[in-house]
Amino acid sequence: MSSEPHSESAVKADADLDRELVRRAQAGDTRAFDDLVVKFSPRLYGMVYHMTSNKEDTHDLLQDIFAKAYRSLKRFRGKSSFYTWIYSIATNMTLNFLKKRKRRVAWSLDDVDSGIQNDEAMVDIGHAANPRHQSDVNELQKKLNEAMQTLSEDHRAVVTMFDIQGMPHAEISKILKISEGTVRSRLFYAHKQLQGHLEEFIH
Amino acid sequence: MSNYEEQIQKIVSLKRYETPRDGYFEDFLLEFQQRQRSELLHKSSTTLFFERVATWFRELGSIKWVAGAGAAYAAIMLAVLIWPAGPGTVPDSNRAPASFEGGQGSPAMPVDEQIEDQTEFRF
Repeated sequence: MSSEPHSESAVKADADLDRELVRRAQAGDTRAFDDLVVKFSPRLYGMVYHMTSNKEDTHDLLQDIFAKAYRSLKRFRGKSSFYTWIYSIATNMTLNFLKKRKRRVAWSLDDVDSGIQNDEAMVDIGHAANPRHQSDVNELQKKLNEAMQTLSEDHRAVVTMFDIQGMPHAEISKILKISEGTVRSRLFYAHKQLQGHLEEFIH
Repeated sequence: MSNYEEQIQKIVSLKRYETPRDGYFEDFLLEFQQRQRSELLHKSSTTLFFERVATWFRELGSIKWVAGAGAAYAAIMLAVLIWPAGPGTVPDSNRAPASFEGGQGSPAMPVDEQIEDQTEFRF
């Protein structure tokens, strides 16, 4: 509890820094916008990647997201935080992309990435979480991605934001423009569905 | 939260360790900058002109309303001055089109008058 005021002030300082960068970028300082790209690209990459499960799509989409944010920056009035604003752009663009991709005949689960074998952090955590499947991290990752792809886009979005990115319900409800109750209900049904696909990893 | 939900959450949260290769985000920024520059080069000069006018207008502050009203007034006055004369006004004979200046079969002159003219020319 003692660290709470510190973390609150850190969050405030962070928001102030974002506001200053946005103000400079709106005034035409491209370096300020570059700083925003550097700051937010890892978080947005995570969101887009977990929604698409494909690295090339994620890369292209992320470029488009920042380009759109740059073009729309003048219209950003600071009613929400920059993070919520750009996250909303990213979510909407990703959901639209997924709808288009669904219509593409060639798309299949074979296009889902499964190249995590070199990710040491994932391997270590995988071992700790599932000692019985120590040699099967790749299989876990493949199953996880496939299970994620079976969810509807709306359910996948809340799972990505809440379970993977650790965002609070209130923030998710602001970004998706839905009530917190809807966020909780979507999470519940998504978990139910995932349970069926990941049974072998649950003890 | 039920036990199964906690376990599902724990397994799904493993995905947060899926990260791109080292140096990816530096390359990403470079590509973004190049893309921005190339977009700027390929923008038409008209788009750039309107963008600059819009930016200049935005930066004018409260004066922009006065400037806007002045520009609108100037446009209306210009339109009134160059607007073509309406049907109720007296036509200027000097401005009449060449085809209306008479001659054979001209619709501007009644047929009997045309015949009289021709008779006159024979004498």
